Order: sequence, then structure tokens, then C-alpha cells
Amino acid sequence: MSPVESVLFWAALLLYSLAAGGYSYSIIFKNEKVMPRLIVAIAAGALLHTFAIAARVYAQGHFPWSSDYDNGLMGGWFIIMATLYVVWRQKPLRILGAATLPAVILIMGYGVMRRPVLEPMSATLKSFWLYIHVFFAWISFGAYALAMGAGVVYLLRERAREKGAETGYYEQFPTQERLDELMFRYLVFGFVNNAVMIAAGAIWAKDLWGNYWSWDPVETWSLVSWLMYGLAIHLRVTMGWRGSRFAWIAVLALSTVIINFFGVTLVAKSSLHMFNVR
Amino acid sequence: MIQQVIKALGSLRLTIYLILALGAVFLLGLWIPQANVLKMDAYLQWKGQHPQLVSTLEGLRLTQIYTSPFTITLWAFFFLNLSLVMWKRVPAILQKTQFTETKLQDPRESSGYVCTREIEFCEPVSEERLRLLITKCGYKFHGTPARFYAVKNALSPVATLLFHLSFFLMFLGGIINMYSRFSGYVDISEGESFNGELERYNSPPRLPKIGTPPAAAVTVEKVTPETVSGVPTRLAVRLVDRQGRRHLAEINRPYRVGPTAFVVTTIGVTPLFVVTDRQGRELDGAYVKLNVLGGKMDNFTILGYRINALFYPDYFNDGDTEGTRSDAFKRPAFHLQVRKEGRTLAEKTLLMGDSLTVEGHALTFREMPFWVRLYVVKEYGLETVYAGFMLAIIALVWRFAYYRREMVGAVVARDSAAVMYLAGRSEFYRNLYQDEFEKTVRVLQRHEE
Repeated sequence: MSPVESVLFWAALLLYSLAAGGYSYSIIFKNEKVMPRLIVAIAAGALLHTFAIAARVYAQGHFPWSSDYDNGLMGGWFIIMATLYVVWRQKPLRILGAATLPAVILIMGYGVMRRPVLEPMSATLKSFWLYIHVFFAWISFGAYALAMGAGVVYLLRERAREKGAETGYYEQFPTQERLDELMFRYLVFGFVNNAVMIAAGAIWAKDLWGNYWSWDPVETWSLVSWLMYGLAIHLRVTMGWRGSRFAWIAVLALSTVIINFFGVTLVAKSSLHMFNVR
Repeated sequence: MIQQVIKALGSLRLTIYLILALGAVFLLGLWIPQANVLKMDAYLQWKGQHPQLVSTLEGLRLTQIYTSPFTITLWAFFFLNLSLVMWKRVPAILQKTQFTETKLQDPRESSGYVCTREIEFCEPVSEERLRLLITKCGYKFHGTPARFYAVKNALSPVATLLFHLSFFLMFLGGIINMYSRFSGYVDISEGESFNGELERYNSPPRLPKIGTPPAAAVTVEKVTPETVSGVPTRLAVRLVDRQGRRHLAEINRPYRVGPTAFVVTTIGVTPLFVVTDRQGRELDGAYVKLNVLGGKMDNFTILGYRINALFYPDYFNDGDTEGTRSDAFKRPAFHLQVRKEGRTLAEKTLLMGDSLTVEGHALTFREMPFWVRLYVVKEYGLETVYAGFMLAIIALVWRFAYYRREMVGAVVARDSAAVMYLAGRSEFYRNLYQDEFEKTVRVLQRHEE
């Protein structure tokens, strides 16, 4: 990282962390007054985050498209932007940050531990299809993260309701019905963009490797995560799964996407390690 | 009995189980090393070190799980289930998309319509005016003011059929591809030609089950690698075809001729070493294709000498150490170790033009063209696969963004005015539709004013 990017990155991460802490405080102590300030903190963090990306582009000469750090940087940015957008459209949705922020902090934190050196663009990445593939990947990631956020909020409120602890604090949130529908909408949006991502990736793979599908771990895992979300849509549309059951799917299915983006190499390496393949 | 089997095979529950089973197979394939994913030498080494384990896994077809009989059976059931489910759904979907008199319901008594409103009009509403108002809101109008039915995106359910049809397209394209595919790697040096001879491939190529190997021929004219800060940023290969036309192939930009593609994968160096005697007469010489980039060591034989070679693309020697400053081919040099009958006879690092002496012979490094490894692929069916992708995406957008909305209404005369009873519903998004319904009501009310 360049010094400028480093400062901006860590400043953004700090603001996100403070906001995440604020959300925890708000939920635990049922204090909704702090919410507007949290959004300001997230917005400020997003601005710094944007400048960090700009600094990286300037230093590197190309967009952050490829490494784990790039994925963390851009993936986090897309999730934050998606969160701010939905909050701007509907204030009651600002509670979604309680779930999306920790995800952003984790992936940005993981990314920064994965060698964020400035590198020129490798020949293997110089393809028009890469840009389409990665762009739609990040959009779908952002949408899935929002679905997860809505799922977490739904479950929190449901838990409070079951315990008889549903206080006035929850009045500021969207209704359970609305949250349930939002989960589905974000999930569907993510699913469609995910389909474009997979298709663009296959077309790119044909040019790069001569094969549009070779059951490479990343390809396979992207199909697994897409199938999981497809299954979720099936369960909703054809079998009427709603409410808590659907919320759990929205929350757990994100893990397949996180593994797809960040963990496949770990899984593949650990499996090779387990089977003693050198 | 047969009916029960067909019912079971065409059930949505089975669809879910099959998706889960396929997901489990894919996950297993991620965990267990796969023969077609691992590099061949890594796989063979693993097999050599753990013969019992690998044999067991191979016996269960777990090292080629994606093409194992079990997985193929799952796919067969998946497509059978898909066919039966779609077959059963076609009448219901067509029925949904068509207008029938039964859809003209009284909004005050209809069930399933979640949004209801009453709109007052100052005067009776003609059919023409009502049709105009409803159409303005994006709906298609059916019926009369006394009982009407309005629908937006009536054909949307068809997109469900199209989305699932796309799977068949991808499947069909995949099958055509699998049976027609030829693939193999060939290393070609600058100035060297390749005419499609099967024996020239690095290892026996994968032959198509239907069709013939590619007949395309190329000559590699020039290979131009570029690196920046150790990162390979470009690899351009100038090719000449049989007709003498030049083509440029690069990473991500294969040279295509008909169904055949020459995919640029990697390069190596093909140094020219010449052995001369004391009088300077050439005794032997060869361009040797070496796989020495990235610090790898390779070897070759010339005039009975076995020579181990280490390559420095950007050689430096500061007296104490020698090595390479970068991956850029600025000052190529070879560190050669000449061996014969198990003994090292000579060892020296040669820049271009340099020689080393062994048993009275001079071994000279004369020049260094590159070789390029091209992945030659000939296949059919890709267009069908891509058409499947396109259809799936279009169908998804159509289904979930242009989903169906319905309204039923009745205009009832009241004194010298009229009241419209309106009820609406949509697929998938009840809350979103409530907002939209309110907007529609406002439009109708504004027009009334």
C-alpha cells in the first residue's frame, strides 16, 4: 500500500469499527438516539474508503481487481455503499449496518493481512470479461450481505418477541413482514447478479485457459453458493418458507460466498495438506 | 405404480434433495484432490507416496467425482426431475398468463387480493375512461366497469419456464462440447512451424469422440514477453498461418480459426548451444527448449554431455554472488553444469556469446529465442452453452423484476356519482406492491379530480 492509501484505509476501518461498536451499544442498551450518528460515521468511513481506493488506483495504475486485499477493499466498499443506499432510501433500514459492518470489518481485515502490495496488472487479468465478472461479483456480494443483515435484524427482533422483551426500541425497525420481504428481494437481486458473474467468468476462462468450465475450486465453489441461493429461492417461492427459517438461510448462505471470495485457497490448501499432496 | 413413480420423480421435494446432493458432491470434490484439477506431476507424486489411499479414492471414483457414475446419475435424475416438473407446470403457467372470465371477481369478495381501496368518482365512469385510466397505470384492462380485471406483466410466469429451459441448453451445449472436444499442449519455438501433427503434442492429446483433430497450422514468428516489477504484464505471440497471414495472440486473446483456438499459456527459452572443436569446427548444435523460468532447473544432452541449466533473465555478478536482478529478459545468462558418466566436467555461467571449455570442446551460448506453449482446443457447443447463459439471465430479470401484478375492480353507481372498489395483489413482493398500489390509487384519484 502507498502511505496515503494506508492512512485512508485504516482511518476508514477505524470509523467502521467505531460504528460497529455503536450498533452493539445501541442494541444492547436499546438506545436508538445514537443511530443517526452511526450513519454519519459510516458515511465518513465510506468517503475515506473511496479515497483509499482512489489512492490505490493512482499508485498502481489500475483498479483493484484481483488479490485478496483487493477483494476485501472493493467488496467492503460495495457492501458499505449498498448499506448507505438502502438507508438513504428508507431510514428504518439503518439497523442493517449492525450486521453488514462486522462483515465489512472482517473481510477488510482479512484482506489487509494478505499482502496488499502494489503490483502492475498481470497479463492474465487483462480482459474485458474480468471487469464484468468482478463488478457483478461485488454487486452480488453486497446484495447477499444486505440479505444477511436483514436476516440478522429479523432474528434479533423475533428473539426479543419470543422472550417478551420487544420494547419500543424495535419500533424504529421495519416491520417483520417488511424485513422478510427485503431479505428475499436482496437475495434475488444478488442471485441474478451472481448468475451474470458466473457466466462472465466462464467466458473469460475460455479465453484465458481454453476451457469455460474446469471444476476449478473457485469455479466449483461459486456454483455451490449460487445453488444454495437458488435453493433458498425455491424454498421461498414453491414451498412458502418465510420468517425465521428464511432468515437463517439468508444468514448462513453468506458463508458460502465468503468462502468463495476468500477461503477457497485455504480450503484447497488444507485439503491438499490433509491428504499430504505436495 | 408407474404413476406413483412419475409423481415421485416429478416432485419439488426431489428437486430440493437433488440440489442438496449435487451441492454435497461439489463440496466433496473441493475437499478430495481431483485428478483433473491437480497438476499431473503433483497427482502422480501423491499417488506414489500414498498408493493405498489414492487407490481407494480412485476405486470409489472420488478423485474424478465430477464425472463419476454417481454424479452423472444425479445429473440424469436432476434433468429428468426438471423435465417432469416443467411438463406438469406448463398448463398451470399458461393458464396463469391467459385471461379467463373467472378472473372477473368482485373485489369486495375476492380472496387472495391483499390490497383493497374504495375510490369515489364525481360522475359515472365510462368504460373508455376507465380503460384509459387503468392502462395509464401500466395494466392491461379486461372486462367492463361493472367487473374488471387488470394485469401487468401477464406473461411473467413464462420466464420460469425459460429459466429452466436454459439449463437444458447448457446441458446440451455441454454434451456437444464433451464429445467434440479436442485439446492438447504443444511447445513451438520462434521460427518453428506446427502443422497439427498429433505426435508433436507434449503428451497424447485428448481426442474427440466425435469429429477430427484440428487441421490448423501455424508458424510462431515472434514471442514478446514483458514484465514490470516481476509481474508478467504482457505476452504477445505473432503467428503466421498457412496462407502467410499474420495474427497476434496474447494471454486472454487466443488465435481462433473456425472451431479451433490456440490459447497462449506460457513461454520458455530455446537457447542455441553449439559445440565446436579446437579448430572451431562445429561438432554439434541445437536449439533446446528449456523450462527454466521462475528459477526452475532443466537439463539437456548435447554431444553425449548431460547439461544441467539454471537461467538468469537479468544476470548480475558482484564477485561474491550471482543471480538475477529481475524477471525481465535484459541480460540473459545460463549457469551450466556439464556432466558425463556421473562426473561434473565443467561448470560456468554463460552470457550470450560466452563459451565454456570441456574436454577440449567449446560449448557456446549463441542466441536465445523463446518457445511458447499453446493450448490447442477444437470444440463445438459453446454457442449453445452461452445461449443458455443468456437465456437464464434474461429469464431471471424478467421473472423477478417484471413480475405479475393483478387488480380486480368494480365501479358501482352511487347517487349521481360512482365508487370504484379496487383490490390488488402481486407475486413475490407484498410490501413493495402495497406502495405501488397506493401510488396507483393516487393516480386514479388525481385523474378523477
